[in-house]
Amino acid sequence: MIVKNLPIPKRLSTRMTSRTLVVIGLGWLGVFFIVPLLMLAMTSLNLDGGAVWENYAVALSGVYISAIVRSFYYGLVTTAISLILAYALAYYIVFYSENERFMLGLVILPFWVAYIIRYLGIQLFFSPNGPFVDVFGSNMGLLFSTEGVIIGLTSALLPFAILPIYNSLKSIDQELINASYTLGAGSYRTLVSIIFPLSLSGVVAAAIIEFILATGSFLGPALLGGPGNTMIANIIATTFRAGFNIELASAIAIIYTVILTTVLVTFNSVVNIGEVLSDL
Amino acid sequence: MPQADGTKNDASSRTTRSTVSRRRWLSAAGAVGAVGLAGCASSIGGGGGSGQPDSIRYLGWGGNTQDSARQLFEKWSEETGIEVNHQSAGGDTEFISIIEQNPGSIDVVNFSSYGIALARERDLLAEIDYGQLPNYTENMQESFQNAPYVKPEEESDTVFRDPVTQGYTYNTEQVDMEMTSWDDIIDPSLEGDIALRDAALPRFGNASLAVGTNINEVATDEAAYQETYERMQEEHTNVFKYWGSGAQAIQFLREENAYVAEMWGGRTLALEEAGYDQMEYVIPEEGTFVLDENYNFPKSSEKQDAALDLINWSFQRENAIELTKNLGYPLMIKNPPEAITSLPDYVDSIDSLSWPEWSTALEKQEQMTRDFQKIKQS
Amino acid sequence: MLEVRNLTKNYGDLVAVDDLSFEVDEGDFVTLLGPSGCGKSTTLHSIAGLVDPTNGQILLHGDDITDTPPNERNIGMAFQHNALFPHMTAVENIEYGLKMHGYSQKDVDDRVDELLELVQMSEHGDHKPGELSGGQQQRISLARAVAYEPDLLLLDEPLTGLDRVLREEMRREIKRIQDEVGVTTLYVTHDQEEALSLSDKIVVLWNGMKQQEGSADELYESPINEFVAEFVGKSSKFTGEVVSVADRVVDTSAGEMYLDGSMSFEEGQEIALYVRPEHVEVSPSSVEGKNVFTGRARQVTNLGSYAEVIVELANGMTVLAETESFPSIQNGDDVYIQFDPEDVIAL
Repeated sequence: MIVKNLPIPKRLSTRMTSRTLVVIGLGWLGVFFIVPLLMLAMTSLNLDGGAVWENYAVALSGVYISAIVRSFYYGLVTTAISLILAYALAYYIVFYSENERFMLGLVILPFWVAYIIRYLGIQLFFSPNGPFVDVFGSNMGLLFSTEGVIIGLTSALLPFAILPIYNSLKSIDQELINASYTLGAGSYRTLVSIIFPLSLSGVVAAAIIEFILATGSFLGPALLGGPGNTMIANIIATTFRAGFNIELASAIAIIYTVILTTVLVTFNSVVNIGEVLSDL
Repeated sequence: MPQADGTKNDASSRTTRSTVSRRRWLSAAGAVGAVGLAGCASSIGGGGGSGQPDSIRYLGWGGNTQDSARQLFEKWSEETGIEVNHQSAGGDTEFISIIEQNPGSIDVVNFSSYGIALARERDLLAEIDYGQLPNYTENMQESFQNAPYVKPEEESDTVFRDPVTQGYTYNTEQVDMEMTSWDDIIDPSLEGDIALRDAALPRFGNASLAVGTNINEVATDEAAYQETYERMQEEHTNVFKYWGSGAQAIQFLREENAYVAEMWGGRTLALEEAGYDQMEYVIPEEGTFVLDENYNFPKSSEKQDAALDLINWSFQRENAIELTKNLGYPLMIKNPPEAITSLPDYVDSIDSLSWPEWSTALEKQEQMTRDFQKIKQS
Repeated sequence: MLEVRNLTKNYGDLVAVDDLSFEVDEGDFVTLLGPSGCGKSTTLHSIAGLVDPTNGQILLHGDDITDTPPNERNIGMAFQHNALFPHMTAVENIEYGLKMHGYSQKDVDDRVDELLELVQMSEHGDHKPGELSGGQQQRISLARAVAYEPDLLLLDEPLTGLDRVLREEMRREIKRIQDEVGVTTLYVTHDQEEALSLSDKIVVLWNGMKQQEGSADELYESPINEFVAEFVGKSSKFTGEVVSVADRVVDTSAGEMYLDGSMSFEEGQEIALYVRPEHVEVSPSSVEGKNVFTGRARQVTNLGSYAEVIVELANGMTVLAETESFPSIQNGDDVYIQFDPEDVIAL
């Protein structure tokens, strides 16, 4: 929305050059992201004698590294499942649903409910006194397990995957699909050769968002996982809060950040993220 | 402290050489606390060393325990005209950073023995003239006034309030046996039905009692450590989840995710009062790891006389009984009435409670944390 | 060859196409002409199978294809904004239909070369649509539509979005390509010039209903209703009351007007009269004959090969005239206009 003729004080408008705006933006990033990150990096180093990288050596040992691997594994599985579900849903909404706004409303609705409540909801759903067990007699191991965490993360993060995919599907010109049909392609061929490639930007955006959010999840494993399903965020929290070992927690956080960045950069070299996202 | 999560008793066991950097970080955390305080700064000022201050500030754990204290303290305010302002934080380590970063802002703090150990390391606590606390010295059972961690011979900085036992609560409708000991939780029939607390030190504490040793031996004796570790592995086979907060444990019991949950007595009481009569709290015959609540007075406070007056007043017999009722945890006063002895955490004698020797336990804590992590992921 | 019978399409309460019937003969170039929203595009999409008709039948070579899925109709279609697949090169766009129609890779390659040559785009096969100009995109779009030798070619306002010069060039290209390929073509446009210059037959649509069907000449010379008369070609309109059937005289506000030929009106009836601009003679001096009126030249426009003159009559009405030679008339001159009774279209 652009409000015209908004009374902007002259002093402000003359000083609000594009340079000022850049400074504000970079300043924000600097103060609230770069500086904390540097502090984290500093804290993670052992500067009080002994090996400087001691905390990293510990962080890369058994218990911690398995949680890191597990996080990326869960992130990957969640992303894969979410993309399939989100694509199907977005596809339905764009091409078949009678009332698109209503459907989108349903997709966005969960955003009004805090994550913790949604995870607790899932927990209650699968609990012995919950409706699932009422119907099936057992929760089939879907709670406090890997499956529980994946189900929770998928359902909590699904809207983040649906929206960019919906957006990219929605922006496909219906005539392109019509063209494909008249040229002799059936629905499946059209989906594979035309619709999917043209919605790739949304899929890539969804994958990145989903992967980052899922991998860094704290509440999902905390509320729906069993003892062996802890992920990075939980390990960091435990190390910090229970062990009060802020140096080790920082080292794990830095390792996680580095791996995540590496994964994204590698992904970027395969799919040019910037280019793909500029289509959105 | 019921809400005590891992922070409370899983004390840091960083070796001394890393203490410096931990302090450095604490300073940073305290700065955040200071922001929370800023709005109240004006009401703190003006207390001075002499005369009656307008208000004093109490730092607690929030939740029901703080509400209980608030309710009682209001009466004192009516009598004296001194307002008690309340501030809450997540636990001992946060208390420490708030006190360090905002000298003079806190007049009474509700530390646990873990926090007291940390505060003593940093020399944050004021020496108490127990002569100013006649109600406490007269009414509190002497054995508790001299609880091991209070160290009456060396220190005079702590006012003991109540013990919190950490046994377990079970659902008598779902469990067929009468549970009385720690051995009952490794019964194969309970596989996947048990939730234990997600905190390394208390976990080692209870498991060590189950195999006939205790946390202090675990911290100093390799064989005891190994035996306890194996016991924890054994207990783990029945566990579906380690809970992080008391509320979570309560929820598991209510929803019957858990038939048995490691628990604090006072919490179970609240559950029973909410209509879950089938829940029964057990202090296993081998004993339990124990938590505690205390009053301490920061050295930096300039209103110590008023703070001491408040605490002394709160130990008047009827006030102590009233606080107990609200709290659900027993103030261990002499000749306790039925209202206190009937509480689940009430013990006849301090001998059935065992406290860790914090200085040695902290040394071992990092290893315990890591080994506990290993068990959880096995 | 193509037969549309009683085609009706409703969108809720809105009737987009209303009981429309027409035929297209083998090899013909037929145009659906009408203003936007007249249902012509819906008709085309129905024929392509992209829209489900509410009622009616579509027959191709005598077979009812009303319920045949679009990909099994063997129809080629070029779309309004060309609808080239943006993620594919020009060649890949053309190949798409060929592959779907089961051409072998060798046939595909040969055919693509042939088509690129046909549309004069051999240089640009590896470009993506985004790298081509509007006209080039439309050429590829045409090549794609005719690639697999469809039974019928549908063109949905393919020249929309091109500038005037390019539109005329592409119009000729369409005609050339259609001639060379020889494919039966159904063309949709709102532009009467395109329709008149391209078509063997024009079907005029309005409000979803067929108004008239015929050759360009028929529509121009003998429109059957006011809509067709006004929509197809330029004209000046008069309205008046029939004074005498025998003498074929109509009383208009500009004066009495004489008609020719048979007259199916009754005396006293209100009718509309149209005169095409090329039938109006403008002269600075008095002229002989019937239907002579005086007026003042309001606007004289030299359009190169001819000139356009707008004349304001005494009653304030304006009449449009076209003269082949540049007249010695200037704005503001008093002039005489005249047209023959046989050139007056009465409706």
